Formats: sequence, C-alpha cells, structure tokens
Amino acid sequence: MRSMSAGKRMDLEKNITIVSFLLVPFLLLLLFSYYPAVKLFQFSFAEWNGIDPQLKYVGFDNYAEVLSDPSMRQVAIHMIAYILMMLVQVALGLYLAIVLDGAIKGRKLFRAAIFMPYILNTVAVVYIFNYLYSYEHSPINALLNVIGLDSIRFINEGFSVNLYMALIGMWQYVGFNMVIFLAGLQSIPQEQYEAAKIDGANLYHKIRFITLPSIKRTISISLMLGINGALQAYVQALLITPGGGPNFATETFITKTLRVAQFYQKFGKASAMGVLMFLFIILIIVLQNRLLKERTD
Amino acid sequence: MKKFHAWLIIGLVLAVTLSGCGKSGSSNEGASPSDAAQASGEGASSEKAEGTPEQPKLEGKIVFATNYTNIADTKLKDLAEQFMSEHPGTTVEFEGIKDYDSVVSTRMAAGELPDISYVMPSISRDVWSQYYLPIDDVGFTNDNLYFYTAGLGMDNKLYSVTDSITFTGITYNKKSFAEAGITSTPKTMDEFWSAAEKLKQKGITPMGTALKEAWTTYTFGGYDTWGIQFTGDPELKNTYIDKDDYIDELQLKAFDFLREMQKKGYFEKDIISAGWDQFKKDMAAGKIAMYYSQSWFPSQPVELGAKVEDIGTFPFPDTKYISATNSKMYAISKDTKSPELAKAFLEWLWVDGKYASAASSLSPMKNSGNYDPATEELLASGLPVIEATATSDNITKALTKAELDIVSTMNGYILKSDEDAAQAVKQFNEKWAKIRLEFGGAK
Repeated sequence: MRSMSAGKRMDLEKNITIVSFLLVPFLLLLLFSYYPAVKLFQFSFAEWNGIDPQLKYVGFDNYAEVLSDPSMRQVAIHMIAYILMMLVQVALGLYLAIVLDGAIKGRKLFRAAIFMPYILNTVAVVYIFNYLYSYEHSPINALLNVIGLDSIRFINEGFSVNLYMALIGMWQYVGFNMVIFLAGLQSIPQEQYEAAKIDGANLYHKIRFITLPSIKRTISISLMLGINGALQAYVQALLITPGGGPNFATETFITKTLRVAQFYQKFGKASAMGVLMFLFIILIIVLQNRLLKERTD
Repeated sequence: MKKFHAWLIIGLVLAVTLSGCGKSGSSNEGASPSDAAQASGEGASSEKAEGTPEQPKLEGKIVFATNYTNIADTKLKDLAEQFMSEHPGTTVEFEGIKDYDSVVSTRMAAGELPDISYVMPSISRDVWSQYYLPIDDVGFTNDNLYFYTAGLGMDNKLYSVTDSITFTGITYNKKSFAEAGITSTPKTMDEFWSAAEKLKQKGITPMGTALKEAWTTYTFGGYDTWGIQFTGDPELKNTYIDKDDYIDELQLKAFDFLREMQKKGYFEKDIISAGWDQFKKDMAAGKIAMYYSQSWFPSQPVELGAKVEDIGTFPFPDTKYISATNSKMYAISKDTKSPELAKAFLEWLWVDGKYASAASSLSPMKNSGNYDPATEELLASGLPVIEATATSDNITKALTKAELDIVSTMNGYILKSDEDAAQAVKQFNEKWAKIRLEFGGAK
C-alpha cells in the first residue's frame, strides 16, 4: 500500500511539475499569439480605423479589395527576390557547414565570424547597409571607382533593389543556417563516410549519397524558416526606403500592410492582408513537406 | 536538497517577473510635498475654485504626452518643475512617446488617453467631442492664437490648440549663394533658373530633396504649403471635394517644377538614394544650396555647424503669399481627473510660447515676435501671411479610403517617363473623381 501511494505521489508530482512549467509559456502563447490571431480574423471582416470602439462589419469586402488591388502584383514580384535570396542563403549555409565541418585550420574562428552577424541588432545592421547603399557616398562605390569600375545604383527603381535588400538579410542570417546544418552534419555517423571511402566514393558521391539524405529534415526546416522569413521581410525596406522606395520599388507585403494600416488607417484591410499571408505560408509549407516527403519515400 | 534549490530558483524567477507588474507607468520623483498633497488631493472630489476667484487652488496630477522625446527629460522636465514650483501641490509630467500615433491610438482605443495629447490625423472632427474636453474657458481667441478656427469642433467649441506655427519658404545657404555670385534671392522663376545654373556651374547642388526618405518633398505636394501661396485662398484645399481633378494646373506647377529640376540636373546626383542625414550635412557645409521647407528646418543645418547668420529663407519665386501651417493640435482628454489643472497647465505652456521655444519651434500666439533670423528674413519679404484652414474631414476620409497619397504620386512623377507621368496623374484624378462623390462632392 505504501509503495503504491509513493508511486502515485511521484506521478502526481511529475505531472504538477510538467504542468506548472508549461503553464506560463502556454498562457503567454495564448495571450500574445492566439488571441491576437483570433482578433486579426475578426478585424479582417470589418472596416476599422484603429480607434473606434465599434467595428463595422463588411463581410469579405476587405479580401476582395486586397485580391483585386493591382499593386499587389508588384509586391508579389518583389517577394520573389526575397525567396531567391533565401534559397541562396540556405545553399550557402549548407556549403559553409560542409566546408567547416571538416578538419580545417581555424574553423572555429571562421564559424564564429560567420555566425557573428546573426547576433547583431537588425536595425543597426540595416543602418550600416543604408550607408553602404548610397550612390554618392558608399565606400563600396568609392572602392569600385578607384579600380576603374562604375558605381552601382543599389537603390534603383527596378527589380534588383529588392535583391540588394534581401542581401542584407542573407548577410545577417547565413550564419544561422550554417549552424543548423552543422548540427545536422555532426549527427551523421563517421563510419558511413569511411565505408563509402573504402568503396571508392569521392567528395561529390559522399555529399550526394550520404550527407544530403541524412540532413533532409534539417534542409526542410531551414527552408520552412527561410520561406517564413522571406515572405515577412520588411525591416530593410522600411528603414532604408521609407515610403516604399522610388515608385514603390521596394514595397514588400509587410511594408504594404503597415502602410495600409498606419498611413491609410484601414486596419480591416490590413488584417485581411495578414490573414492571406498566413494562409499562403501554410500552403507553401504543406506543399514543401509533401514534395520532400515524396523524395524520401 | 536538489528539489529545494529548484523551487527556490522558480520562486526567485517568479518574484522578479511579478515585481515588474507592481510598478505604475510613471515615476513620481522629487516632491514629497506633492505626494502628501496628492494624497489629500485625491480625497477632494471637485476641482472647484477655493479662496479667491482669480486664483483657484490647483491640485491633482496630469500627464502631457509629447512626441519630442529628445527634450522630454531635459527642457520639458525643467518646464514641469517650474510650473510645479509656482503651483505647489500639483504634479505635472511630460511623457515622451516615440511612435506617437500608434501608441496613443492604442491607448485611445482602450480609453486611456493621456490628460493632454495631440489630436492624431485619424481622429476626424466629428468625434472630437467624444474624446476631448471643450477648452473655451482657457482664454484662447482668434485674436491671440493662430489657427484658432482649426481647433473648433463641429459644435463650434474649442477643443484643440496648435503647439506652434510654421511658415513655408526656401531655406538657403548664404555662403553658397555668395560663392556662386548670387547677390539677391530670386523673386521670379527666371531669376531662380539663372541662380540655379550659377550654383551648378560652381559645383554646388542648387536644391536638395533627400528623396529616399519620401516625406521630404511634402511642401510641394499639397495646397496648404504650395497652392495657397499663389491664390491666397485659405479654403482652397476644401474646394477640391467638388472638383474632379485633385491634381490640377496649380498642383501640376509643383510636379512639373520638380521634373524640370531633375532633368536639368539641379538636384542631388542620384535623388533616389539621397538620404536625410547626408543632405543635412551637405546643406550645413554649403554643398547643397537650397531646400523648400518650413520654419522647423533652418535650425537643423545650424546644429550641424552652419552659422546662424549663413542660413536664410525666402519665399518661393512668383508666389504672392506666405503659407503658414499649424503643427500638432493639443487637446485635453474628456476623462481627465484634473481638468482645471490640465487647462491651467496648457495655458501656462502656450501663453509665452514656452512649449514652442523648448521645442525650438515658433510660438502659436499672435504678435509674439521673437522669431529666428531665417523666419524674420522670410517675413521681411513683405508678402502677407495666410493661414490655411483645416482640411475638411470628408476630403481626408476620401483620400484615405481610395489610398490616394499626393506626395508619393509626386515623387513618382519626378522619375517617370513623360507618358507614364501623365498616366499616373490621370489615374490619380480618375480615382479621386470617383471617391469624392461618396463623400459629399457635388456631381
């Protein structure tokens, strides 16, 4: 009898411990993530200026307005630049991880140096690039001019300005991808590589048949985080080109949402944009998972 | 033992986290007499005048929310302390808020408007009486305050007062002009083009735009700061609700001026990457000669090293009037617990332009004189000053509903090809023609 109650007591204690540790994060999650999300859905069906105590419900009007807005097509094109850079970032992170996983002199120093930008304050980084991207006063252009090349117009009205904006994010976050991949790589047993070496495999074979398949899950996670980050990019465009850039050349989905909400006081429409972005990201992730799953099966 | 340590750590973490909840937003530093007075003041149910009718005893606590975060803890705090020493038993505080519009909007939606705050653009005049207190008894009149009528609600009661007045004109660096051999400020467009060419020949950028920031050309885009200088009609802007072309010949004058300047190379080498900080430095150093702006601007190149006597302002060539616009309109919250104190503090801050001069802006009181040299030079041109009336709510609502922004359209106009530029104006006007009918425009 005594041993049973001791066991039950231990179970109870264990459960109390688990619940009490999870309680605070769960409450915070409800308060700061789920509750605002529910409110977002609610606002997306209303016309609201952000201050009125009353909401005026308008059904799907906001969604219709967003989807029929011709400037959204332009924004979608800009987001492609961010997605492209993100793919480069993931690939580069993987490449650096593979290179720095091997026994190279100073690899710890390289890893630290490449990871360092990740811990910098994003706003500070963007301000540095704001200076670097100036046409007349950029040190990069000064250097190019010294060696006889023309200055680059980083901030321009074309598509490339978005690539330059996305480049800032890539510079800052490639170290993070590298670290994630390093962790994945280090979980691959060395014996597999040795066995492959005995069988006559070269570096290309090793990567293609051992490394990549083993870190499929890590690649999938990196892409998922990357897509989420790319589609929600806004800090660079907002700080370097407030107002959306020349003829809105740097407008991203989020900067447009912010403009619709704060400048035009159309919180309902902005909420609808937020919901659409949420659904779109879910769709992409589901598709991506399906694609990658098929490959492994 | 291990378990005890674990619970101790949990307890400490919770205690530290929850201790942050106990503190209220504002800190009550300094005056212990005011603490004691507040304790007794809170007991008093009314703010009615006691003792002599001329000097009602003020008590209570109010917070003045300002967007001037750079002086909230310095010059403004000094002002608060000065007021409190003149009226012992009161507590007045300045709260500097950085992202003012979104923070105060949120508080407003939660019913926690600060005692004194400025009326945000999103609050249309028809709802002022729901959020703010009428302040007709404070003593402001059309004779002593600029933009008095802009602060009247729909019921003709005074709700808000502008914190400063600002005049529009071209600020210029006199040293750059002297270097280029320009002996007097241009009064006609011909004189202007010739002056610009002289500056360009000397390697000085005639005019700056800092176009990357997007807002910097705002003085060109709008009837208050552009059109009104040609027509002198304070109601000009509000007539557009009945016109199909929001961007008409008068406004296109500004649009085309900017395009012409860009074509002739009279702006920065690459305007779309021209940033504000670099622009100010160049203006202070005389590398950029002119900037079309308002009276808040001349102090900025001076702060960056230009001599006060080297910066001046002149009216835009060919204009007949000098436009004056209001700044932030401050109002008292309807739910304030100390309305008499709030009114007294507002009056005290406004009467000698104390608040305006702390913020290096111009006092909103009429006949206050005491303007900075650049503004004095502008006013010495002799052109009459014209105050624009407030934009009517239906125009603001129509523009925001159709997402029409004249400044961004204008900035795009500078860069587009001739066809695209004309097309952009046509599209803007088409959208305007449609939306104005929804907001009471005549057919």
